[in-house]
Amino acid sequence: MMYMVERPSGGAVLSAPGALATTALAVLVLIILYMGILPTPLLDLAAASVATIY
Amino acid sequence: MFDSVVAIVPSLCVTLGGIATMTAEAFREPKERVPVAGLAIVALIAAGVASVFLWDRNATSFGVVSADNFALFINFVLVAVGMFTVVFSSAVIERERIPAGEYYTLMLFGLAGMMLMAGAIDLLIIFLALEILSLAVYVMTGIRRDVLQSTEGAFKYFLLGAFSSAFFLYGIAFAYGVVGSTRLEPISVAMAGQGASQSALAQFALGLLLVGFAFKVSAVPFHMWTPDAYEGAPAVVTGFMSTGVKAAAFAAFVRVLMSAFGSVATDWTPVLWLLAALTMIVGTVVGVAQSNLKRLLAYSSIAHAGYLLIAIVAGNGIGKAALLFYLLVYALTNVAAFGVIALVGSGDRSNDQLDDYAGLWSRQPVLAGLLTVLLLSLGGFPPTAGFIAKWYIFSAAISAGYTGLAVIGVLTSVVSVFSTCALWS
Repeated sequence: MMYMVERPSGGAVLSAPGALATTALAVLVLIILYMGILPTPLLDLAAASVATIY
Repeated sequence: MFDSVVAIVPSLCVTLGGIATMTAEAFREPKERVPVAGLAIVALIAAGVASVFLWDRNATSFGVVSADNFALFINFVLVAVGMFTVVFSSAVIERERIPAGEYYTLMLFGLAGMMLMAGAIDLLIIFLALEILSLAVYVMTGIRRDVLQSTEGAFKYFLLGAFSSAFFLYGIAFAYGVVGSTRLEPISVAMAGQGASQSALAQFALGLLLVGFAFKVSAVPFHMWTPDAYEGAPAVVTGFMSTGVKAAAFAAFVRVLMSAFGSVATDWTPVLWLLAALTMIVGTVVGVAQSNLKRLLAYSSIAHAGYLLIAIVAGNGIGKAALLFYLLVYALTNVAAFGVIALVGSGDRSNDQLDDYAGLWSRQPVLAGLLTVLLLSLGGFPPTAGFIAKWYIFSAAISAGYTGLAVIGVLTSVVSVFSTCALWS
């Protein structure tokens, strides 16, 4: 698998993100998982919001 | 006086932030470092706080901008997109040789336009907001003047964007010709009557407005600019424009169609049905053949516009709520996915080919894990939010009687997983 295979010699060297950026990414992933497991509060909020549309 | 401007306070906050970053950049000494990213964060927090205070107040400004909860929900999405874009940008901006002052100024002005667009209840204000955000994003796309691809992408985006603006403006002109007003409420009243709604001019105005919006949300066949602009722009800019512009454009699209032209839904629903189906199919099928991650995500973004169009076609309560939920999920997922591409790039090489990710799991397992969850969410896998968002969109379509559209959506979702798998296998 692409993730799993070793980088070919002469292949791209990917930069390593800093701590702040990695934390931001982790927070985003946690939000995405949270919204996937417990979506109801946000869906209710979305439903209430869209009801006010003119 | 204050009451009349209260609805535009969130937009004003980011505009003032943009002016502050521009001034700081203009007056800084050579080699002096000014915390422009900090200024941008402060402006975004102010906009977010203002949106919280405006919640449930249903304020309007000058009769042309509304701060209803719908607009404020979009504001929260835009503030989140802005915040995460600033965080990712601050990590890469120096390496990419992007001028920080100009970059954050344009980003904040673009966000001001997006917020204005989400709350606008007058076609002319929607057009002005569209131009404010578009001009900022055109320049951001080509901000790396030393990269030919970036300039090419910006030029294509500008040309086709100008073309779509002309369609939109002519749509406004014809709507004004029929109704005598550019505000959504009089248009809605006129469309509910027999005379205006059945006139050829009204149908023509609606068609032109649909084309204008379809360009902005990258619906097929008006999507041609998207892959080139997304590939050419720096990855942080692509993340910003693929989420912020889409959220604002869909907000205005929904408001115009459901408020002003809601009474003639039977006229525009079949057109949107076709656009949604084409957008999902083309975005997904062409996406599978891509070897560049930015282009792959560009086609994924086109397909996602198709899923969002399903919610508008459904037009029921579940569909409307699902649309906002989907926009939020899509915005957070895409800004993070493009954030990863931006973060792994180097100054001389963008590292956005699929082959570049070989061995990522052994060298950066945390990043590989995070990117996996993001791509699974874009593909609609449980237990991610992408799955729930698609579930509700398809449920809305089925409950509104558009089972065929839901079937196309499910099938294209399955095919889109092959695009995701391209990164792994």
